[in-house]
Amino acid sequence: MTNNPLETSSTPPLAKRTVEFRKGEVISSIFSQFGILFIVILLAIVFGATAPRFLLVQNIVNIFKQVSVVAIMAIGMTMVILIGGIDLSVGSVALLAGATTMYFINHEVTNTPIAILLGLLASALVGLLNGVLVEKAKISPIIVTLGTMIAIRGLAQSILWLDNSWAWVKAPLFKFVANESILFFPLVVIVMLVMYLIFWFILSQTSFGRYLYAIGGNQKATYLCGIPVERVKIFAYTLCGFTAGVGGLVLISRLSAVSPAVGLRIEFDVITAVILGGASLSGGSGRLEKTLLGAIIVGMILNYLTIKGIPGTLQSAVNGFIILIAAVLDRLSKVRSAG
Amino acid sequence: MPNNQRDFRLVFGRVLQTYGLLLMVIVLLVIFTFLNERFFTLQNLKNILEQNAALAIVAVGVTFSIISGNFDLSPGAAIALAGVVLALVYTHTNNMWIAAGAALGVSLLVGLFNGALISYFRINSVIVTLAAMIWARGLALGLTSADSIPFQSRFVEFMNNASFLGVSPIILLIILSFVLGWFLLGYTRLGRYTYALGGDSEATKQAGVNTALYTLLIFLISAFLVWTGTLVTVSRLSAGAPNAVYGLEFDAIVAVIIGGNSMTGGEGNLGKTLIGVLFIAILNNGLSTLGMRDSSFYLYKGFIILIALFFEVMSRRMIVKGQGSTLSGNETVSGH
Amino acid sequence: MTQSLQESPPILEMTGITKRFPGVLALNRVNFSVKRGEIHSLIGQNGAGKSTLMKILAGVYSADEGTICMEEQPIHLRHPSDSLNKGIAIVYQELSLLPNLTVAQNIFLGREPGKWLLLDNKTIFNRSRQILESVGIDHIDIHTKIADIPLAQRQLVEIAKALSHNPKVLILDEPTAPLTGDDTKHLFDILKRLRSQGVAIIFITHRLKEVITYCDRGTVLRNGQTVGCVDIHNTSESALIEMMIGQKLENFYRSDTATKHLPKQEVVLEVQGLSVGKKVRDVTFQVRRGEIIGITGLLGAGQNELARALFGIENQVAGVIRRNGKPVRISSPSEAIYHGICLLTENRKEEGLILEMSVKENMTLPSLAFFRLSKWIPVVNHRKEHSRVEEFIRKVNIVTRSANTRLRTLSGGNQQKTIVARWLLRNLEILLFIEPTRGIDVGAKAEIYRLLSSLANEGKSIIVVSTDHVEVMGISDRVFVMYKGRLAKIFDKVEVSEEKLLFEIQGGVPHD
Ligand SMILES: Nc1ncnc2c1ncn2[C@@H]1O[C@H](COP(=O)(O)OP(=O)(O)OP(=O)(O)O)[C@@H](O)[C@H]1O
Ligand SMILES: [Mg+2]
Repeated sequence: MTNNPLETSSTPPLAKRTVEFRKGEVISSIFSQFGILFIVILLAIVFGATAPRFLLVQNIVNIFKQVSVVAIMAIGMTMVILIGGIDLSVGSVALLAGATTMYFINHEVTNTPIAILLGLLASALVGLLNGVLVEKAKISPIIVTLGTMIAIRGLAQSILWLDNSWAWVKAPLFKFVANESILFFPLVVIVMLVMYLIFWFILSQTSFGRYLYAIGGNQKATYLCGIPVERVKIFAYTLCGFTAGVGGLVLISRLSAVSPAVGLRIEFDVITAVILGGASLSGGSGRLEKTLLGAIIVGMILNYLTIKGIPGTLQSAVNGFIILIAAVLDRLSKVRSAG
Repeated sequence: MPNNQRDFRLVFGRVLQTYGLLLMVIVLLVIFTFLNERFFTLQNLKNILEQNAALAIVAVGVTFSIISGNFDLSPGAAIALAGVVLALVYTHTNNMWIAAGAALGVSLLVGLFNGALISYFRINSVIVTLAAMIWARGLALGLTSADSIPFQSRFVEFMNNASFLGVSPIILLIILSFVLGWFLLGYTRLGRYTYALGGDSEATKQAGVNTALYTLLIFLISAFLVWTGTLVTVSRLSAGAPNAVYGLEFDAIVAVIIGGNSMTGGEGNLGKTLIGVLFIAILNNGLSTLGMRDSSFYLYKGFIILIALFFEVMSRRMIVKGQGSTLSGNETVSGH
Repeated sequence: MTQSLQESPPILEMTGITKRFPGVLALNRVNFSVKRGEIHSLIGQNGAGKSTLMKILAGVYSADEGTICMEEQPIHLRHPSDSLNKGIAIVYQELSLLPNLTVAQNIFLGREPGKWLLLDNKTIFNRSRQILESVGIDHIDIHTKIADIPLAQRQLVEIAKALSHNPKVLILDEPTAPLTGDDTKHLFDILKRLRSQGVAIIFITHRLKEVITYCDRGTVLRNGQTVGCVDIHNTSESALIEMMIGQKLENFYRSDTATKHLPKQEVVLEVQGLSVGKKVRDVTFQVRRGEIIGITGLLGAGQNELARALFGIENQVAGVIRRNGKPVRISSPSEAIYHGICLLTENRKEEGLILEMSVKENMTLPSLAFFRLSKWIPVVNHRKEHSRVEEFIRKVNIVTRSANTRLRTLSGGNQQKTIVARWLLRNLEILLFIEPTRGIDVGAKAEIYRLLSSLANEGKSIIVVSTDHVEVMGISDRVFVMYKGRLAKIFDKVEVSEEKLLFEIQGGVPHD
């Protein structure tokens, strides 16, 4: 054995090698954390500059009212996307919730609160069905929910046909929620915020929330930790059905009528909101507060297009492009912080 | 558990997986023939293929994107856009070469745009192609104020009426697309990397493959097939229609998956896609000849598709169980 | 024989390499060089920066500062293909074969022979066969998918793949971790051959025996800095350890790591006539309270399947399992955990790690119920969780910026420690650990052995499955040897010797 020519061999073991974050690192990590917030601000500036009406208080309140439906439905979608699934049936579930609730109210079967509960129950049951088909029958979620999207719309429309395929929303509670506000905050927006608070708590503070992230990150490993993966996933789908139902009820209260087309193609806006919020479709990442910002972006775009009077045929084209631009900006903010 | 039961599972699962959907295709044929005597005639079978030619052609491209681990929801809208452009250019120039060239350009541009965003900007393919589905359809509607643009040309006549040894040009195009896809997937680098990308794109990159370039190429192939599908679609309609082939992308994806290709990528082949396409085509045609309302049409279609998928999934599980591999309670067709 | 070559200039020289990750200085002005025709080992504790340095050579990361010269020309490596083109091939610590492709397809991935786009499958097959043959693993069928072959064979394929590049510089990042002694010896035979052909080989391992026996020079990293470069032929294991840890050995760890303990008589687990398909046949044994059992055997002798069956994740399980005398049915991990059994699997990347979650979340995943606010409210008490995790980070010595660091950014060994700690924290009666110390450095290994034996003292029963027979001998009260699915021999601690053990591992044929 030789004596090692080491002058450093007397330094203490495992000296911490952590170093201060550099300014650039801090900025870029903030940017990647809240990049979406900058996009919201950027869009607000651009839209406000090109359409002055856009930034009026009245219009902003309006945007939030418009956003509330998509935002509420995006809560459940965030959870389902977190576990690596997807739910295309939310639009149809929204219609189902509206149709059943209105049926019970208009035919005076029950009083309004019970009718609402029944409508939400129906929605949650559809979610449960989705979950069971995905988890127990092991059919891919895109296919399952594409199927229920078609089937549930058919079911809901059949309920509407009992009322000549169109139901008016006459219940005072709905009118109240749609029109009243507390200190500038419309009730629908308050409903939305309360839902977000509750589900933010569930996702970040409970073991159920933790399991959702774990399953999305590595399902096999989670299963090997003894977590009841199937049950957790089915529950996530059920909650997604539930929030879709809540969104549907808010939607019909704003429309003041249930038509067979309620919620048609809304799933695109909902999924877009979640993805813009930074959730990955392969699961494991996504945050509720960012989903809300994603929903706001979608709402701002739609509102802007209406203000600008873009013809309906071109509106969707422009919408598609703006969403892409938002996605690219989001990506760029991430690339900068990763590099 | 005794071994022979396990072997039985393995064998039965394999048989079900290989021939299950084919069996369902035959069952469908029998049922529809029973319900409608004119169903099982050579004329109608040819008709089924021609009606669903765009689906079959596009499904080849969708197979590529799904194997590579991406989704492509844009082909239907892209066909509508390219078809509208073709019709517009043709009515202005009266030259089918220029018109078809313009349509090719548009298809490739859409593919390039999608592919570049997905490969170089690394934006999720679902969002990119979902957006493309919206903007391309919107552009098609905007360009035509939502009307379709009819036109007459020798090309359309040729496509609809010519025949080579009894095979119409449209069916020939289907065959060519499948042959092209089969060749690319099985015998070229592009095909090999398509599988590799779907398996683990990071590891593929570490092996020195230019993953971004190949992802882009996959979407360009898709675009080329979209163009082929456009030629078929405008010929059959004799018009460029902004509302053409609505929902084609969903049919195509369902056909690919139902044929037994893995949803998560890395596996699959065009034989499976072909059977899936046949299944959807027969289902579309059979249900529509029964003359039912739209909503019931979709209900039946959805229901039958679910049954077929159920078999597909069952067979997979049986094989997994039969092989005695672990974690049986835990894999999904869509799992990761 | 290496003497003359040592005078030659280095083929590859890295100077002043610095690499920062947000908040971590992974490499701090590191110098490193290798020469033609040497096996150069790179050693250091978990998180010292070995893999990061090698990934810079492989073109995966780019260095923030410093230069790389190859054959005295400065080179720039921006993409993995740059490195491959320069003749640098690497086997990563975490395997990077594509599970959905076949062996042959994997070997040629990224450089398939053929004109333009066309593949030349015949050449691919023939050359793959030749390559496997030259590495001596032609028993692996080139047409099987990687997903269908066991981890150790994947490792061999990966090595074969790297060799097939005919590299000038070959980097092996802990290649021997999943290999048995025989395979390791075989690997070094190949490496020696390559050395005589002038290939420069960089070899990372935590098994210092391998360093001493087979390597020519060694560079030691500590805390992201180069400690020094030594000639292995005139150094010793203990000297190397001192360089790695930066202090005198005796302060650090005692060679007699296992504290004495005596298993109780009480039988806590009884396995009777257990079979798993054709992989495990008719195995019967008993486990007593406070006992450490080591199970060893050749690769694929059924030891992994045996452990997995006890955790409820194998199909075709026959036989009886008794817990505290009562027969139990275990068909899923949650049932196993309910009966007080946990399992650390051998495939940490696929079956253990949740890379995007934090160290803390990974560690407490099966134990979240402990941190509830109350029995009926599944709300996590973060403070309690955090302090418990901090305790275990210290206990198993995990090098991490904080408990909230994402697991992805930890070094391989520290990831392994995290999932070991996951089950220690869960605190169950019976611990089944498959290869628990894979990729863990000497110091931490000793620490884990010490933890295991103190757990046994507390009355836990531990089954360690390992192909490293020395490790098994060192810690176990009894050693089980499996051969072709059967429990071939049970040794008591007093009667076991290396010779006898090797003899049984080989199925009772004399070992040469
Ligand atoms: N992508 C990354 N982001 C942030 N930190 C990282 C990243 N990769 C490595 N590190 C940090 O750099 C340090 C060196 O890690 P490295 O993987 O090189 O260690 P190692 O010497 O290979 O250890 P082991 O023996 O455990 O494999 C560690 O502290 C690790 O946490
Ligand atoms: Mg390492």
